[in-house]
Amino acid sequence: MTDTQYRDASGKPILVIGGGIAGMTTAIEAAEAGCDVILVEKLPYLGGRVARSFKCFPKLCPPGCGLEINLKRIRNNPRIRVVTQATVEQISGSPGDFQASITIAPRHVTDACTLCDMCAEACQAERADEYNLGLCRTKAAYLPHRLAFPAAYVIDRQACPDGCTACRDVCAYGAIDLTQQPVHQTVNVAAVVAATGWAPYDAAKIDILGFGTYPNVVTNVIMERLAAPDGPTKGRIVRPSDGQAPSSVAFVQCAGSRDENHLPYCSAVCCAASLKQVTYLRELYPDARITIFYIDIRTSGRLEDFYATVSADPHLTLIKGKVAQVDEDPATKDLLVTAEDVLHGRKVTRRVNLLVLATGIVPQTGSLPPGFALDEFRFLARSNGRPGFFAAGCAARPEEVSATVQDATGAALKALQAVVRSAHHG
Amino acid sequence: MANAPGVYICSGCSIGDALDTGKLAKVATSACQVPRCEVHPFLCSPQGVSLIRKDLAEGSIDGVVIAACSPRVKTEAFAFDPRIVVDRVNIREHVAWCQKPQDEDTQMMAEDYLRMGIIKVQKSEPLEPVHDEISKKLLVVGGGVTGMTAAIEAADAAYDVVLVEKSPRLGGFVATLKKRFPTAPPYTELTTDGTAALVQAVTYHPRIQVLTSARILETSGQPGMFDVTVAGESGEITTRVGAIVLATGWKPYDATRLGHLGYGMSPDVITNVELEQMVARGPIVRPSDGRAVASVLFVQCAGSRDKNHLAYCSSVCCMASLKHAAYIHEQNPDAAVYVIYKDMRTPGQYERFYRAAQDHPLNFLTKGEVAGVQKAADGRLAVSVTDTLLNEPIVIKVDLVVLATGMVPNAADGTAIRAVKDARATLARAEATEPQKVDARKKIEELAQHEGTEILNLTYRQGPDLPAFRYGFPDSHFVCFPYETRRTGIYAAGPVRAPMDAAHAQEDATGAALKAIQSVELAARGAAVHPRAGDLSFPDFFLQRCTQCKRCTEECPFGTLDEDAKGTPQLNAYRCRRCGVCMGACPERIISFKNYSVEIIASMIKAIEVPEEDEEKPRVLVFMCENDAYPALDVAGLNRVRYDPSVRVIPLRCLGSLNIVWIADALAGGIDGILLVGCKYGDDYQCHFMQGSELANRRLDNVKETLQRLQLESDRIQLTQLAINEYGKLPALIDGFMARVRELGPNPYKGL
Amino acid sequence: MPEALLIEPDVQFIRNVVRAGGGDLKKCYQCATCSVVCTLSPDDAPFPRRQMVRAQWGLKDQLMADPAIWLCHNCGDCTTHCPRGAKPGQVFGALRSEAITHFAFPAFLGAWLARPAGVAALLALGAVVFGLLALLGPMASPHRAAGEQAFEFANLYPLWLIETFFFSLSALILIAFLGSLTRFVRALRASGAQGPILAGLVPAAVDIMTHTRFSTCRQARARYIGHLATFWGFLGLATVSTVVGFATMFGVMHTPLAQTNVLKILGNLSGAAAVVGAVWLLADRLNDPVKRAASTSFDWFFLWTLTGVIATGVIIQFLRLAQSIPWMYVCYFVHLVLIFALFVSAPYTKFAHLAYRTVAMAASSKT
Repeated sequence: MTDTQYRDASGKPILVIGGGIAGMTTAIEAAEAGCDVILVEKLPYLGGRVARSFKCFPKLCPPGCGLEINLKRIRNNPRIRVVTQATVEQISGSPGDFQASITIAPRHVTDACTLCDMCAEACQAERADEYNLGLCRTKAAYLPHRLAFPAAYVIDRQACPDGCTACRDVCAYGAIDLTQQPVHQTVNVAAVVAATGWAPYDAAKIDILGFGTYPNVVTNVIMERLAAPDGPTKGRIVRPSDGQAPSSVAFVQCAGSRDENHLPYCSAVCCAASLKQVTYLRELYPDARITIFYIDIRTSGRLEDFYATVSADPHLTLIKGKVAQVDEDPATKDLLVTAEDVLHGRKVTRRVNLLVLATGIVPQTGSLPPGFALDEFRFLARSNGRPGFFAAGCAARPEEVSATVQDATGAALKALQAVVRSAHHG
Repeated sequence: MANAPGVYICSGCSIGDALDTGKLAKVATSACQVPRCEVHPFLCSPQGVSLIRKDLAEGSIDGVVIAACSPRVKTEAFAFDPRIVVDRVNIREHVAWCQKPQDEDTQMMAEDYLRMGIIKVQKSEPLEPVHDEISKKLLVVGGGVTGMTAAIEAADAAYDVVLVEKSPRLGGFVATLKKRFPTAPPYTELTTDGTAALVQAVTYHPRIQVLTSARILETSGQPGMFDVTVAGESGEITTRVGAIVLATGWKPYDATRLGHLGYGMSPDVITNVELEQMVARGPIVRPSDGRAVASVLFVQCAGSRDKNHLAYCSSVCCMASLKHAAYIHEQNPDAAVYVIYKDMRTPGQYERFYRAAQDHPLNFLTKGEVAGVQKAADGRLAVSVTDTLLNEPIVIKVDLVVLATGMVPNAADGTAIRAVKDARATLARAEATEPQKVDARKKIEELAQHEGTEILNLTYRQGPDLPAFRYGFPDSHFVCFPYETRRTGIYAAGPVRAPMDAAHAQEDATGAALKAIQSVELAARGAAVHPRAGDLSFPDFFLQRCTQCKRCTEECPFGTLDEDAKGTPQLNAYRCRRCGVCMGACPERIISFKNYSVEIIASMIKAIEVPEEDEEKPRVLVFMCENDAYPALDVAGLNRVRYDPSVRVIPLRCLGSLNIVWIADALAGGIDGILLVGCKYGDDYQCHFMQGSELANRRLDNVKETLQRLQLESDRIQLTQLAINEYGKLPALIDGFMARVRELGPNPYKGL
Repeated sequence: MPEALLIEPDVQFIRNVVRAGGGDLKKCYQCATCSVVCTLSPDDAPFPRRQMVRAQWGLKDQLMADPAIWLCHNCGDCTTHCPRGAKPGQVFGALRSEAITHFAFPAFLGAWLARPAGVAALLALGAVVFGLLALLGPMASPHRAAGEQAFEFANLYPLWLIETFFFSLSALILIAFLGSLTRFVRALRASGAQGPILAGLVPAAVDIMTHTRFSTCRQARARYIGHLATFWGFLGLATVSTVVGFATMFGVMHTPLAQTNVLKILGNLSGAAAVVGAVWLLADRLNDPVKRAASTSFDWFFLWTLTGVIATGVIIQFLRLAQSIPWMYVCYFVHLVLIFALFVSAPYTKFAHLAYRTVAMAASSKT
């Protein structure tokens, strides 16, 4: 249930920071086990990174399916209070009795919103669409995405012309309040679970790979949006330079990961992700020539099946060797991609229409309130943190969706224990 | 029965502009005779909702029909006492937003939906939460790191636990390890944290009862009331538990099948597990002559990532071999250690350990394929390796070859075991035909190895253990729901579920423990678990009319139904996930939920007004999976996409709950075509009730035969698979089907 | 399928490489970033990736006979981009010093001079030798007897003595060089290098004169210029001294030469270039902590003696003009000792890279 419907339940609630798949899972699983939950998300909607991917490997199923089920579980569960556009500033107290101060940025749209879309129609201002990684624009009055929860529009006041009230004036339901100010709240919770997830590594920092310089060099997260039906290209994977369909594509694995100059750890998901994106391309372009340049293909467990299936593709070549030189043909905007074919001991240069950098996972732990133990890579350490503080998902370790859900479920039990303990001690 | 529902129509969100809400209200009051009907411009507003609450409070109505937006939105605003029957008629996303405003067809569509909603409420019964004596004690099977963790984590949340371990002592495989590879910062040094502390904690935890040297003779009953009989040191005991965590771990792949890597050819070719055992005993020596080793070669993926052996990657062997290299150098810093890998798999922060392990001057690592292992003249072993990083084939002479063999789940495939049993029964049956017997013999031959592998010994009709997913792992099929298995209240954790290291297994165990706790808590409230979490409805069997056809007991994806001697289904309500597959399967239509039944849907179909043939207004019924297809249609509405107004959508809990009688009724009632939209099926099925759409499809095949007999084109019925994000395709899909139906012309049975 | 290689890692070799600057050698995980970022690495036989794994595996013989380790100009592009921090550039430096010692003729000298102690001993020997000569010199000098009091080097060391000494020494050095290079070439051939070495020498020499390959390195513009200056400065000085040497020997010319003398000017210019270059190179190494850490006595000895020789050479020029005695003589003594050390160590220290690289480039040239 959303903010205002929160009813205070008997036992102390737990605080979950981050409304992506990890945070949602911890919140839902804890709530269905009988625990009250406050789920805090910085964006205006839940779902995080997973909601922004096109399909999940290895089943190639749309994340929206799981998302919808989870949203239904949240909608039907009065124990969960969802607070969006919110950040946790400070946490004081002790396990079983923490005081967390939360700042909620104004949405400027109340629960009265019916999704009628009048505000967006009336709105003339535009903003970069962060749901689509800024690849396209939305109105300043917008619905983050089609399955968005909370199901209410958002007004991006930064994007509005001074004093414009067009949206408020047109709203027939009085659902728009442009006077809203940031709200500060303090909640008393028994335990805290940090599930702040990850952000893609800034590929522009890898100077030799041409991202940001050559238009047809994109990242794997951009690929997800290009492939998605609700993405900037409505699901057509095309070259940014000219909107043409690519007939040859290359993937650069470990673009930033396993690299002492960038991310020394392995981001764990990029191999399977690129294989997955090969299937996106193949579905659209049956004859496209695709090359994956890799150091080690890391598809652990049964993901090996997925690797086996995808690599059987006759138009797919896997080359062991890291791409370390990318040049652009200024005439065609094609890219000349060079690596050493390590197993054959010779350099290969491939001309491709589109180059995808498999950029890695950077933990989003910077905005957390103090008290969480971090490892040298700024991932949340699972042990030796502050008692009553727990971690889940990619904020603690680079991992794929199902592993994330697994340890988010475990985090729910850890939090539940804290609630039980606090209940017992009065 | 809600005989006197109140009907509340919202005219907001341009519903009022698209429809004549007055006429709509008239349908409710005059045609349907409802005692109360209101049109409100903003029904979800406090004022609008208070209208409804007032009427409920006054008792002037006993059910609520809300004709407004999709049930997927405004759930809080329209949240009433669960004992009130409420239906949300979606005249916004599914009518006003996707149809021509102020159009006759649009109006008809809305009126049909309203009639359908009203009859649905009238036919539904309020849900009375069931309260049984539910045991909240948990059973954990397996006393290794996974099982012990599950037990301790549950116990720390104040739940009683019975821990069953087959060996005489707790600890499992990890307890036998001299050292463990790092799983915490700085990820570079081996750790010595064994399992002693955990064993202590488990043994002395007041809430944990440990049964060692024990095995489970029988597990009967259902979540919240499993009766488990365990044979242990102190004889047989039977205890009642509410949920089960299966943590039976793994066993190494049978190395005797790895002759091609030299196993069995020389005593100096051993497995990584045998190396651990050697290390636990003392120094690492050459088994052949007991001399300390000066050179060791590790063959990675020995039997893993290999179509002829284990097709999957065992996940831990790379880290394990790097650890073993460290063992060897602790013993002899000058020993040469070679690691031949396919891909070095040290994901996440484990990369640090790989980098640290590389540093030893005598660690020699290369990608490569081991072409053969021979005895060399000097008594050492000569390993030939091709496709190396050195770009030439190489031969390496070593004292010891270690095969990094993979993980095989210690699981039992309930489905397979059941299949063998059935086959044997067939052979025993006198009246079994010869072809049946031939099939039976084949089955037995192919599945015999599963006999005697039982672990839980469930008394389930569908088999004594969890059904195996791929490669014998009783894992979930779902990316977003790794604990969604096919036996409610039973959760697999650790290496039995998927190959994983101890650290991951411990997290997994914690998650499984939470799921077990959750299932008993939900059972105590009489509520369903995921995916219909909180659903209070139960299937109800009118057994007087049961013909013992066994379809329900066979088709239930969750083994909910057992059979008595005659084959009459016996409901175990707490195993049920409320999908209604049994209801769809039953030819006698004797299975119903209070708010979801063959009759309710049948009357909704009847509520559709079918225009006369000469009006040339075809009517098409669309059954939609409410998890994926229905939301997709909502999005189509949100996007204001138009599609043919002749369709009438009925959401189903699962396409698997589709009862073919509805199809017969619809066609008999003059409906011109029927479209079924369900989840993807096949190997990567997306149906959360396993094979809902697949079952529906199978049932359709039978229907189509009947159609041919009735001189009806089978094209009038079509099943399509649609994912939730394919809403873009939905309008075209509907219009395409309508075009075909128009081609075929009106249903000849119309108006008969 | 080719004959399989029997792996017998030379652990001592690995340890040497690690000690000689290849400390992070083992960290390489074979992604081959290095082979791609290296502008000198050929497409059909890229380096340094393959050499890195060979070094990790202690395959000494293969590496010693691999021209690739000489084709590298140690520009550092690979080290900068290496995702593992394995510093291939420095590993190659270590491999080259290993090679010089490995092929050294006579071997004992190579082994001896590979150690700092050996270097010290060499300098000491130089001091002793010129000490003795300084005692012998005057007796053998005709001028003193004539009672002339011109401030001439000849007063310390008669020209003929110096010349005979250094020309004969050079002859020995030349033999040592030829011996070492013959071993190197034999190894190259054994490892299947087909390149027509003699024919290749010309283009190789041209390339070296112009530093064409060196100039393509991205990371090393500074070193490129420094190296170019030192190279030409040294070459100039060597030529001038040789010419003057012979000329005076056969009485065609008499030292001291006038400041206006062409050879003198050429000499001074070369000296200037050499000083600038050498200082430049030293500074480059000293300023970059990474390079400084990676530099071994092997590098330092060469750089310092070279700089020393040139520096003292220039200084005594000025002292001579200033007619400052006895500093002029002291400095001259040091100058000679350093030249001696430089000459004797030439085939066994970094100095030798000039020769090895030329041969390697010739061997791998596509003519």
